[in-house]
Amino acid sequence: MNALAALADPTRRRILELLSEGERGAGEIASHFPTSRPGVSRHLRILREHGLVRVREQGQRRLYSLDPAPLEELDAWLERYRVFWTNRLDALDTEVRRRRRARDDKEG
Amino acid sequence: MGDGRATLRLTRYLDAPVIEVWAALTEPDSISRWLARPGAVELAEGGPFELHTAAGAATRIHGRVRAVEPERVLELDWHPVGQEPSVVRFELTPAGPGTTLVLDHRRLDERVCMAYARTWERRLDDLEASVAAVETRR
Repeated sequence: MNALAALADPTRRRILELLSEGERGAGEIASHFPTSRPGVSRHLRILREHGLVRVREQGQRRLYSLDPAPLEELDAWLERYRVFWTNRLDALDTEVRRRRRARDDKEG
Repeated sequence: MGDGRATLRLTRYLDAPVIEVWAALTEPDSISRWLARPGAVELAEGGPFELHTAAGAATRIHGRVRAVEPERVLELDWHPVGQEPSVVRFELTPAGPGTTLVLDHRRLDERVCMAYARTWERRLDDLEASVAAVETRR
């Protein structure tokens, strides 16, 4: 499973949103979800396995935080397509205007 | 869902009614000016939509029409030679005197090029459904 597949789950995306606000303990994360605590733990494990979150121990607590590296890669990869289509749609805009000018000229 | 694929979405306002945008989107002369030199193009479900993106290079796109609703929807199988196939969908909606065009490039395969490196600036909110979707508006 790659990073995109890990992101496909809505609970996991919500966990990442929470962590984008800052480091959180497992219990605090779980309190935001109706899912059982083990269920949330499983999601956290999957996120960790994909390098999307980091974990550190503080006494008895396990604190989770966001690791943006895989998301940066994902975004850079999408950027290529974004640039391609942005340029093409700019050209479409120009073409639409060109056609309208040609029609206006014809109609005098 | 969960197949490790992404969708890129771009939304654009064009200052012309849908009938004109549709013509610019689909007529071969226009396609050659805004997208690429067209080969066989047949605007019917299952019909070919072939493109040559650059002279000489191996940059042919084997397209096929998946869905067509004149002045509303054009959905294409998008298969650049040597790359994974994906799906490109154009959807037109009247918007006042003009047209809103929504482009979805779906089923982009992450494995194609995870090597590109750039900075992550956009927020997680941009990641929607099973997708990383990014909208630009103008």
